[in-house]
Amino acid sequence: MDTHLTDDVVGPLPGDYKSDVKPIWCPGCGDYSVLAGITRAMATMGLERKDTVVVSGIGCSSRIPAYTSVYGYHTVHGRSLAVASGVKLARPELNVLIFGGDGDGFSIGGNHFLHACRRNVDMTYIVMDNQVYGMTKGQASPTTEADWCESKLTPEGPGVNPIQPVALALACGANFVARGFSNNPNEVARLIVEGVRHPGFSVIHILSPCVTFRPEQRNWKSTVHPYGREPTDDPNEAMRAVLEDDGFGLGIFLAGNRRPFQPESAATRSIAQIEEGFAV
Amino acid sequence: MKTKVLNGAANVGLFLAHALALEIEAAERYTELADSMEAHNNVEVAKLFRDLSTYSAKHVEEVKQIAREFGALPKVAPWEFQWDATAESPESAAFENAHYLMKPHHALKMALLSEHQGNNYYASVAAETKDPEVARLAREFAEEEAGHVALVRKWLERYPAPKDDWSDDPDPPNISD
Repeated sequence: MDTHLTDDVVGPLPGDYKSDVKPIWCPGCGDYSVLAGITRAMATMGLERKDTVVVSGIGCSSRIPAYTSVYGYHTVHGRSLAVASGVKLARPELNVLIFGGDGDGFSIGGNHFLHACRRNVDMTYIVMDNQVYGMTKGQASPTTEADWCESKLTPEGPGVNPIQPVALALACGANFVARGFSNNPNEVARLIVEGVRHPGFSVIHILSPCVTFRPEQRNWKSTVHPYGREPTDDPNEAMRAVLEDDGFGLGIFLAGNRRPFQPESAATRSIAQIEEGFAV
Repeated sequence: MKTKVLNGAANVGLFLAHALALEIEAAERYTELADSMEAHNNVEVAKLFRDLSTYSAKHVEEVKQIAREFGALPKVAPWEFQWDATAESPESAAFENAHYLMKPHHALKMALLSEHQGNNYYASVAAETKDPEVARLAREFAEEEAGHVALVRKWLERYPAPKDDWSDDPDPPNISD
């Protein structure tokens, strides 16, 4: 069956934003549902495919560019935010969405994450967090619990406390911060739409179970709960609330009002003027 | 007070928007599950999901035809759909219930649940709406879904529950030793 059910009744459909490449994630993986949320969000916004770029790093969740029909850039490990910042600053008219996992985003790309939040370029970062390196067969990641003992590399558990992505994003200045759960792709779609429409750097932390290396995460569906507060535009208020959260609260924590970073893109000096600076 | 389901079927246009989303998402989900099983060389289950997708796709075309005759449908955001008990549209099989070693029995149990939920949705609308045209369409769609339920039940007779060790893998993906 053709999954691209282009329709003349209700306009663009999620299937229009899927590519012909079939995902190779493990059956049951949360990333399938996140992909459904992404394409539903794109269809809801009616994004022009020629004006939309998805950028990713390395890992299971970073395969998203292959599975979408917009422009895609599958970059190197941990560097998706740096590349995406360049894309957005050079072409501010484009919709730029970045996808990746917890290892890519908070370990290898951790430094870029801090400064992307701080810089506040107008783009949306969707992190699919399964608290494990799945593509390399199940090692502890920066968000893995200290006492998780299922990896040969850390038989006693990693022994260090996990990073709290939402608190970190708030501390570093992200302008929109939310958390979703892959089992509810329609809510994931809502968060992505809100994040894309909100000016500045948006971080959407999505709990996405790895059913192969963290099968116990199938129980997250009974652990997650609504965050229970209205979004605030005050980062301090959001931070105070997040520090009381158990890491499973779902919703929008912050919709801030910082001005996005966008330098003047027009050239201020000609090539000849630049060359003059190098003349001997 | 109207139920959530009835809010989503307040008029023919809104009801058709819901029905179309339900059918498209169900067909797409079966296709995605079939693709996923093919990628993991679970050929038998892949074929079952592919067959279910084909049946669902036919219903998509029927609903589309009715929708075209009706005219432009309201645009409803994914999170605004008024499904009663499910986060997604009621006939979408849940991704999280899939397993790379699942047997036809499990696939058909998933399908049975989805088809039941689709049938229940339409039957609820038909029973509660005051709009005669919505009631007529909902009854028609509920009958179609009841047919799917019966078909899946029949298929299930051929595939009894497997032994408890069905998910044992002699070459597991986890490197645990």
